[in-house]
Amino acid sequence: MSLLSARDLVRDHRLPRRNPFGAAEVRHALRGVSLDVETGETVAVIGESGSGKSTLVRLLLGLDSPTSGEVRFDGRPVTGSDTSLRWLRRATGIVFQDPYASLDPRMTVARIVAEPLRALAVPGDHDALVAAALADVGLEPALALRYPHELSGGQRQRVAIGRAIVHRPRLLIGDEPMSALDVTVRAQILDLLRRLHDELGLTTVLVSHDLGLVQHVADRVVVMADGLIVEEGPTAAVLAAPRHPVTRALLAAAPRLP
Amino acid sequence: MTLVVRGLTVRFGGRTAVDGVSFTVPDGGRLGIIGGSGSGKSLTTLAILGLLPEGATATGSVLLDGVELLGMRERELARIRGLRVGVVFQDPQTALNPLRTVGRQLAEPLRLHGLATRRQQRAEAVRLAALVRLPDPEQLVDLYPHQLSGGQRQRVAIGIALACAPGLLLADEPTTALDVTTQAAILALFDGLVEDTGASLVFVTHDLAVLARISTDVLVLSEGRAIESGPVERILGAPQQPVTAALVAAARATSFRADES
Repeated sequence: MSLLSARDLVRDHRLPRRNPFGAAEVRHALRGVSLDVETGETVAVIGESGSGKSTLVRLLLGLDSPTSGEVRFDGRPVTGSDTSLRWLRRATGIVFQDPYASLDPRMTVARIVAEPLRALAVPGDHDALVAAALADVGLEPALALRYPHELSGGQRQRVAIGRAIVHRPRLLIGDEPMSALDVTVRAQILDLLRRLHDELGLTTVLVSHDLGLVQHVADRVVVMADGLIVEEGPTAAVLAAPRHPVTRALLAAAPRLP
Repeated sequence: MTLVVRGLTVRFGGRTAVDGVSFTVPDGGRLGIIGGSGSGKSLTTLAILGLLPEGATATGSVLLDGVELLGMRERELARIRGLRVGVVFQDPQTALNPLRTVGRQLAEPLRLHGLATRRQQRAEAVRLAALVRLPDPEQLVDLYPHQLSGGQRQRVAIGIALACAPGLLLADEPTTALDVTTQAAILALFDGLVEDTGASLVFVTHDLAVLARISTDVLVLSEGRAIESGPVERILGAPQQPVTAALVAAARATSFRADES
């Protein structure tokens, strides 16, 4: 059975009425998306802005509800209020694009990383779990008492990843986890993601328009356009022989070194 | 136009952020400046324009066609910015005024420098919108920035930079905030416009693949110092400095490669 399974997801957004007597226009953010992610797999979701990637991630994490369709995590339906989804929060972790915006400047690194443990009332020795998470992401124990502004961009993104894995989730989701980082830091974070996958057996879903990242870490790639999955398959196969015009356009646009 | 920078030093917050940087961009040349965050690449561009943040001071020399820009009075500098030097920044969202139409902003440099009468401004705005290949220029000039996509907003910013046909174009990470297909389109636009206008180009980026697409020469900055420079092929193929070699290796490890898939 798949760890994560989405069936026929549709998400419509009602636009503001232009004419008070007319019907409200509807924008279809997702138009019927099905996706299965197996345990231990790394899946990349690629597509242009507005293709529905981020909407899909929000639905997979239960941060938004589909207009129709269903998401199941480990066989269990992802529905209900925030408090009733606590089981899902314990099993998942997320890393956002911008490590500057996602870390509270008034908290120490240790407190930031410990946040999910407190919020999710995870049992066990929190200090030990934080220390283990910092070690996993390659941060010195001494950094635990520093504040975000004292860290480099790469260290901040490591803190964000540490926070995402401190409660030992089964699924890690990255929403453009590298696009705010400069090139040497990207190489380090890419290595880190690969290592976490190998050592912790983390199932990973990465949303990105960065084909370099996709090529170097993903087993499988899913291409989205206009709220639909237009192509999917093993990363090497899709990148070597793209079939859909959207995939071809994305490949042609990728900056490459001569 | 020819840009000659000699011993440019920027002191900011009690430290030396740019330390004796020298480079030359010949007339029609295309220089890419690369470096990690904190390498001083953005401060270098800002210093050329006299746009350093409060508290930062620049020393050295910045010669634009033989005219010294450092230490020039703000009123004279303002005449050079926009007229002879066009600038494009990273984020088109914050570079545009949300309360003014696209057309008014496109024509603003022409108005400020007295190159277009009020009556000509609309026609000029339409011309610039067409130049940067925005769709339906006649209608688009009446829209506001929030009605455009990110890529379209960056096209507007490029149109503003090119309004007065400047001899030098400075671009600071102009495609970093854009997605990959939009980035490719904007780079192609840059390439074509620089070719057509014969302007000299200084292009700041942290992405070597983007740099290789747009410029012919590279200046590598690290911790405020210029550590290496030369033609793109030489820097990529045979970097001399460890920092450059690390940058190239990291770029090869993270960028997309067609032959590998």
